[in-house]
Amino acid sequence: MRMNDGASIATARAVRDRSRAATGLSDDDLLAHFASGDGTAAKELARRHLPRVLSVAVRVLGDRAEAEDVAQEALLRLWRIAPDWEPGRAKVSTWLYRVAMNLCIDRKRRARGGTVDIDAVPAPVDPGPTASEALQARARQAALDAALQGLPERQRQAVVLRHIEGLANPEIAEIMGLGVEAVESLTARGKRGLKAALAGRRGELGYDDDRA
Amino acid sequence: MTERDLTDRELDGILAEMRLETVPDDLMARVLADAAAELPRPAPAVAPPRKRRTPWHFAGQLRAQLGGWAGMGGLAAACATGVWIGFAPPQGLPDPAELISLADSEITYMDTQLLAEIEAERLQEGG
Repeated sequence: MRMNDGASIATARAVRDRSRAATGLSDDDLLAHFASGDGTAAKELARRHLPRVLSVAVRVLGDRAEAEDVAQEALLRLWRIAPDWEPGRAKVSTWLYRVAMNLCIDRKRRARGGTVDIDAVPAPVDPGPTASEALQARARQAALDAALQGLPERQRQAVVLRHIEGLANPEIAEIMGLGVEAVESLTARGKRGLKAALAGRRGELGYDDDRA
Repeated sequence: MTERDLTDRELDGILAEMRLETVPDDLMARVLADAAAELPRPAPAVAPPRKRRTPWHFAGQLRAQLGGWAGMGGLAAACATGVWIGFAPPQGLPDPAELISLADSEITYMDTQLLAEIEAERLQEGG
């Protein structure tokens, strides 16, 4: 029927317009939209935050499958808190990082003594270079992953948030429930620990030993 | 040997390339399925219209049970016919009103007779 065609076109346009509009909304607005029953808001929130949460979880846990479970759980908690979310109280990203970090700590405690599965190390982000360079990058990341897993829990979290995710110290302090100075201390000690773990492996990591 | 250690810059470089930018499709699908399951249902702006076939008030339910307006009409006609037959019965049927008055007159008659006999006995005794 003509009427139904018109109605379905109007519905499709409304969905498209909502999807376009969602990209320009703040995280707080998107959560409010989700809480009022707009499913397209979830898609945009997941697009913005899931990669970051997954990235942190992979590096903190050193296990891809576990990290994916943590990322899914963190987002699930976001969907559940949406109706009670207080705009402006915390950034969605900070809240998600904090939830993910706590979930990682729980899993680490449960699986104390686990080792890094090198095969589970994700491929490099940019596989553009030649095969040998890609292999080199993969070996470098595997070595660094192993070194990261050797760090104490809090140092590892601080290094991942500061140097892999590139967050500012005040935000890391909020995520970890610490003061800024404590975060600075943790990242400094963490980096020293990584250097010590990787000492004597510059060639393996793809750096020329004869560099001037 | 210190010259074999990574410099800060080299370490920062390796750390920076550890950042993941992509999410597997199946993980994204799982996350969105969770979101769909948790999506709050919006309250309807207006109450939905009541269905005519399932009235909730007592009179409506009774009417529905009796077969709607048609059934109610039939029932009313049957009642009226019964009342009419009660007051004006067709020929061949006894008139209930007449039967009641007959019974009354009989009792009255018997009472009168009894009283007359008692009176007669009294007169004889007195006579």
